[in-house]
Amino acid sequence: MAAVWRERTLRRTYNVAAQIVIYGVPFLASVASVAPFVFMVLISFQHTFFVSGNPARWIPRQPTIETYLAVLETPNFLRWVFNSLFVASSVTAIALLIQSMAGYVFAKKEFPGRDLLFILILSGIMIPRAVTIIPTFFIVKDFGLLNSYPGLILPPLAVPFGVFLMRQYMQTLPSELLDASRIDGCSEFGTFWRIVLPLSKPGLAVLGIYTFMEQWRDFLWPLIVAQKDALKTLPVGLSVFHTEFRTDYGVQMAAVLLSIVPFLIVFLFFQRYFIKGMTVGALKG
Amino acid sequence: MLSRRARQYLTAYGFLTPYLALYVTFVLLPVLWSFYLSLCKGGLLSGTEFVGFQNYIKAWNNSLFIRALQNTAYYTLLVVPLAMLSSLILALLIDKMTPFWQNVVKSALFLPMVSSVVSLSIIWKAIFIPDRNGPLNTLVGVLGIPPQNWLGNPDLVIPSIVGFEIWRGYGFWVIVFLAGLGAISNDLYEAARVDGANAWHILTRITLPLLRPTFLFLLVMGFIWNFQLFDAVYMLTAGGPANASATVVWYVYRNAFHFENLGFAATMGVLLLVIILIMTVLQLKYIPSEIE
Repeated sequence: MAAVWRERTLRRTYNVAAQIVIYGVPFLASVASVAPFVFMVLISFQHTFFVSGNPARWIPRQPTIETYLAVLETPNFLRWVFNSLFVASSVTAIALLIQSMAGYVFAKKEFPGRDLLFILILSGIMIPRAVTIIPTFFIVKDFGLLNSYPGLILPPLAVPFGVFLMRQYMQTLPSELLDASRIDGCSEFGTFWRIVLPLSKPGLAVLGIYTFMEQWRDFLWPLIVAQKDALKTLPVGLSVFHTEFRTDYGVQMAAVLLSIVPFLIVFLFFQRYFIKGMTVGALKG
Repeated sequence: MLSRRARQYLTAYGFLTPYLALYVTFVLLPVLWSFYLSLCKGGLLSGTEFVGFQNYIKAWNNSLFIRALQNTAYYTLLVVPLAMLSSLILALLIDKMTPFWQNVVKSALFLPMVSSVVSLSIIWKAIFIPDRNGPLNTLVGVLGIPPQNWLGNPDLVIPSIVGFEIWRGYGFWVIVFLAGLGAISNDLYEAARVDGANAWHILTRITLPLLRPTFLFLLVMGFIWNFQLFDAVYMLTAGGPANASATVVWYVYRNAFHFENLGFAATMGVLLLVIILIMTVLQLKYIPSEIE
C-alpha cells in the first residue's frame, strides 16, 4: 500500500517538474526576446537614462515626448518611412506577378531548355550578394538609376527564391482544370490570371509576406544605391541618424520605435502567414 | 502559320521573359562581371586595368583578408551550433505546450525578426554600453561578473555579436524546428508508446532521426547566411576594434566603396562564392538527409 502511494507521489512530482520545465524555459526565452524592446520603450521617453558615473535610470522619472518630436522634426524621417513602405510594396507586387509567371511555366509547361533554365535560376540561391553587388552597382549606374526608386526596386526582383516557391506550389494544381479553361476559349494569359492565380492564393500570400519582410529589413543594397538623403529607406536613414544623437539614447530609441511600429502592426494582423512564410523554405528544402 | 507546339513554346518563353531579363541583368551578368573584375585592378573613379591573377595572390598574402576570413569562420562556427542546439531544445519544449501558449511564445520569439538589423543594433548598442552602469553590465553585475567592454575588447567582440545574432535569429530557428516536428506523424508516436518506448527512446529513435531534413536545411542555410554577415558588423563595431570583428563581406564593402579597390573586392567576393559553394556541396553530399 505504502509502496503504491509512494510511486504515485513520485510520478506526480515528476509530472509537475516536467510541466515547470516545459513552460518555464520557453517563458524565459520569450522574456529574453521581448526585454530589449521593453528597454527601448522605457528609454525612449527620457533624454538621460544613462549618465556616466550615475546608476542607470530605467524608469523615466519625468516622461517626455520631446524625444519623439525630435525624431519627427528630422528633415526626412517621414520620407524614409514612406520610401521603405513604397519600395517594399512595389518589389512585393511586381515580384508576385513575374515570379509566379515564371514559376507557372516551370510547373505546367513543356519547352526546350526548361530543366537547364530552372537549374540555372535555382543555383542563384547560393550566390552571395558580395559577388553581385559591385557589378549591379555599375549596371544601375549605367542605366542612370542611382538615387532613384527603380534603382532600389529592380535588382531585388531577380532573387530566385520566389520562382522556386511558386513552381513547387503550382505543381499541385490540377492540370485538367487549366486544360478545361483553355478549351472554353480562355487565352493563355487569361487562364493564368483568372484560374491559376486565384487558385494559388495561399502560395502567393506566403511569398508576398516573405518578400515584403526581406525588403523592409534590407540594408546593403539601399545603402549603396540611395546616397541622397531623400531617397534613403528607413534602415539606411536610421544608420546615419543615430550617429547624430550619439549620446541621446532617448531620441535614438524613439526613432527605432517609430521605425518598428508600422511593420509590427502588419505583423500582428498576418502573424499566421508570417510563420508559414518563414518556414516554407525549410519544409520544401 | 505557326504550329500549335511552336505557339506553346512561344507562350512559355513569353511568360518567362520578364523574370529572366531581370535574372540575367542582376544575377548572371554580375557574377560573370565579378569574375572579370577579379582579374583587374583599379577603382570606381580611376577605371580598371587587366592584371591577371595578381589579386588572388594578393588575397592569399593579405593578412587583413585572412583575418576577415578567420573571423567569419569563427563567428559561423559559434552561431550555427549554438543556435541549432538551443532552438532544438526550445522547440521540443514548446511542442509540448498547449496551442494558446505556443502562439504566445512564438509571437514573442518572432518579435526581433520583424525589425531590421539596423533598428535592433541601435537598441543593442545601448545595451552594450561599456560603463559600469550600462544595461548589460548592470545585469551581469547581479551575477557577480565584473563590467565588460563588450564591443571594445578584441577577445569579446565576436562572442558579443554572436550573442546578438542568436538573439535576433533564434525565433526563426525555433519556428523551423517546430514546423519539422509538426510534420512527424502522430501514428509513429502512438505505435512507439504501444510498444512500451519511454520518452528518451521516442526522442532519440523517432523524433531526432525524422528531423534530419530540418537539421540539414538549417545547417546549409545557416552557413550560407552567416558567412555573409555584414549589417551587424557595420552597425555595432564597423569592423573594430583593430579589425577584430571585420568579416569578409565587410572587407569587400570597404574595398569596393571606400578604398577604390574594386578588383580586389571582386576577388574576395569570388573567393567567398567558391567557399560557400564547396561547403554547401560537401554538406549536401556527406550528411544524409534520408532516413535509413
